[in-house]
Amino acid sequence: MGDAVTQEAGCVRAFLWNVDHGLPGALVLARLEAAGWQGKLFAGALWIFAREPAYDKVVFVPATGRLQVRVDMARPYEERRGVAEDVHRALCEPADPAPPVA
Amino acid sequence: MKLDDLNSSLESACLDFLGGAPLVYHCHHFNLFLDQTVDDAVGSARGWELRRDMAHQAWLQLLSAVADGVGAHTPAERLTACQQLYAAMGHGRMAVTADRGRGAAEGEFLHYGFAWKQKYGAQVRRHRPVDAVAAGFAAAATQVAHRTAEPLVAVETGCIAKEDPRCTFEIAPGGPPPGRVVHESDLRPVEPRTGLAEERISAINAGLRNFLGGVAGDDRGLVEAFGVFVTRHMTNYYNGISYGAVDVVRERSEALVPMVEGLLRESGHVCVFNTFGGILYSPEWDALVGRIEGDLTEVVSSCCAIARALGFGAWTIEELSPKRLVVTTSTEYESPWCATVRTEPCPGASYFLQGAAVAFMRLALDLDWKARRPLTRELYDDLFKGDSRWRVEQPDSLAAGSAVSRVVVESR
Repeated sequence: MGDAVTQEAGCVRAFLWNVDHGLPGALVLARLEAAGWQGKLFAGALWIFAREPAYDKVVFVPATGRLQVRVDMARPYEERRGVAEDVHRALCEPADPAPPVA
Repeated sequence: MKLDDLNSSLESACLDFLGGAPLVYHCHHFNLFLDQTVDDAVGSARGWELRRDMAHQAWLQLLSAVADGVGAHTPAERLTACQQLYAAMGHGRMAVTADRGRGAAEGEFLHYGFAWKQKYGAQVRRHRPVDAVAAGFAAAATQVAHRTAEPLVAVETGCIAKEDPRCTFEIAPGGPPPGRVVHESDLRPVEPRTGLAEERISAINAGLRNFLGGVAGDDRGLVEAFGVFVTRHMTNYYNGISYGAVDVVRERSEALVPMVEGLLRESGHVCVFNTFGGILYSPEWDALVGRIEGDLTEVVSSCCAIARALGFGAWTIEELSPKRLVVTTSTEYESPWCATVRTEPCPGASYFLQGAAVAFMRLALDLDWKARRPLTRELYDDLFKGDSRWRVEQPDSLAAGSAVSRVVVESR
């Protein structure tokens, strides 16, 4: 996974993670959905995903491709990076890699 | 009536209210810092009492208005309304068992305790409870549930910040009667002022407020937005503990007052660095505004827009250069307390506004925005500790009868 998952500038330890994916927006949305993430569009420019019962979030800006994972603060520190790596795997090594029908 | 229907705003003033109680958004860094400042200033025992009592009177105002406003009649209904409000404001979950004149409560994910444990728990062992705001809530909710005027007081008997398994409270008769607090009706609509970059500030403020309107707490009572954990909180609490601490210190020694005032200004640094910095770094900002580049006017106008969106007042830029910033506002959340509640005036004492304005210049000129260094304690110390090249004065104050509060930040 290398540098694809990196900790982001934030004011809570190991809370924000940047995930580099290099995928088009539609594929990001489809693969997150396939992995069980449910998204909501804000202001026509920002997707925020959650996956119950956990409290982690994925924030995605289609215009720039920036994707940030926000790990539930109640998680132990040692688990936090793993949540972001799971998101990277869902995007870049999906179980079903078929792209969505446009 | 629903809870949302009790929200109101003085839009031209960028001030927000719930059931007439003035509210703002602040993050856990600011909340913990301000509480600690009060304890440092007056001592931990007196600090706890001050914070608990100010929370109690602020919650009494808010909870009474909300319980009445949503049409809650029975004690159980009124208690439910109080508890739902507490969670919706991002303070965590409180389960209160309220009898007439006494009760008990248990908290989960309480904002102060949970945040303290996250921020300091690995480095510091704490021996005192931290949840004075929750204690004030527990006592106020019990009174509001039974519509009793007899003051109650809550003791935090267990606190996760001191490694207890849960936050627990016991509620019994006691404590001082509540004092005067600021209400929406104490404030008057103001003529909107304009300043530099006004169009940009207004547009960003509108976008941020629209976005914040859609942000909700999760079922634990935690509210996260822009990558920052925030509370919707009562300005009557912030002002009550801030000016209350100054009064206590002044009674002991006038010479110590500047030290406390300096710490209260620093609360503005803490807020701007963590909350404003977090917002400016966030994907939400990228999407709603565009990635920030770090230009002086861009950063300072962005900060004014954020201040407005968080309900701090209609802050405007009167002057801006690399050596000088003048922030002017016809509304801010500190002065109404001075003008309404205090018997003695406190001119030139909008501490948070002063500290925030200094921090705007620090963020704009001293932070390498391209590098996007993490907002760590080390970076905060690099920017704000040591000799400051900035001095701040407040020549005009709404609390002293001026038409505006004006803060001047200048390079030494």
